[in-house]
Amino acid sequence: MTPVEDWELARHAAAGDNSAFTALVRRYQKPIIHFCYRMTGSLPDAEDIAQEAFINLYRSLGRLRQASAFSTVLFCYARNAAMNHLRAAGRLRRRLAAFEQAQGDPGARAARPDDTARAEELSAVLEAGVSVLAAEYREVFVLREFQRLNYQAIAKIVGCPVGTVRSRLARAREQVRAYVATRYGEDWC
Amino acid sequence: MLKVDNLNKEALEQISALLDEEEPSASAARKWLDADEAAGRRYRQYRRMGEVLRALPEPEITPDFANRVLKRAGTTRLSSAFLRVFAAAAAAVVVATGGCCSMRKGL
Repeated sequence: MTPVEDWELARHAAAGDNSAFTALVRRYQKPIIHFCYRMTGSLPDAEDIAQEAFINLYRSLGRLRQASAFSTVLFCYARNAAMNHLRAAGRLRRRLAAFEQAQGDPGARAARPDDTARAEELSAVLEAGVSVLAAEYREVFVLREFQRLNYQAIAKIVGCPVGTVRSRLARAREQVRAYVATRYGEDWC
Repeated sequence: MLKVDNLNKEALEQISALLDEEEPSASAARKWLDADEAAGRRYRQYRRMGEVLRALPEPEITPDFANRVLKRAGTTRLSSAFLRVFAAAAAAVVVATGGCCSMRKGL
């Protein structure tokens, strides 16, 4: 699906065509919810945020300009909704507590000998490392590593220059790597 | 940030950007990675991080998510329509009231 086709659907939706809006929601619900999930660590929260993003988009359909890919615009709405959510008092602390409870203590499982167990442990440690990133680093990390967006698209979504995306991404990677290194040592890979 | 080698901020940004194919001087950077053990290891670690994270199972989305959004969108549209009608009615009342007042003054 090309961005133009997305925008065509958006124009139809703005004119009151419900099936066009339905098509857009169904097309993008998965990446948007997954992005929100990686930002919050909670699927119910992620779905609430994604719903907020789609509704905000719906309300703005008539005012949107086709200046970039439709997906970029939609991720922008999702990002704003996610950041608002994270800013709410106490949410971040509860999210971290829930995440740590769900994951257990990754370090405690590090002694398991087989490769599969080690891979699972590494996944858990990496997820924990991503979850403790500051929101401004986590958003660029998630948009790049999970959504595979390029720097220009990420810059549009988070509203900063491409150079800032580049430096934030490098810093995020280094922080996650350092988090892993505290458990596995510097030569973990 | 742990300081374990001599890779500075610029070097780490270059490694990160190279991994993302966003490094303008990619050819020179790749030669540097081949020659510098610490830089090469960091590149492999960053790459591995991405691979492992992307292999994580994706959460299952609630099956009726889209329907919930569409239902709420419908409510939003009705609310907007109601507000428009209400605003038009309020404006009409204001105009009518203003007209009556003017007529009374005229009398």
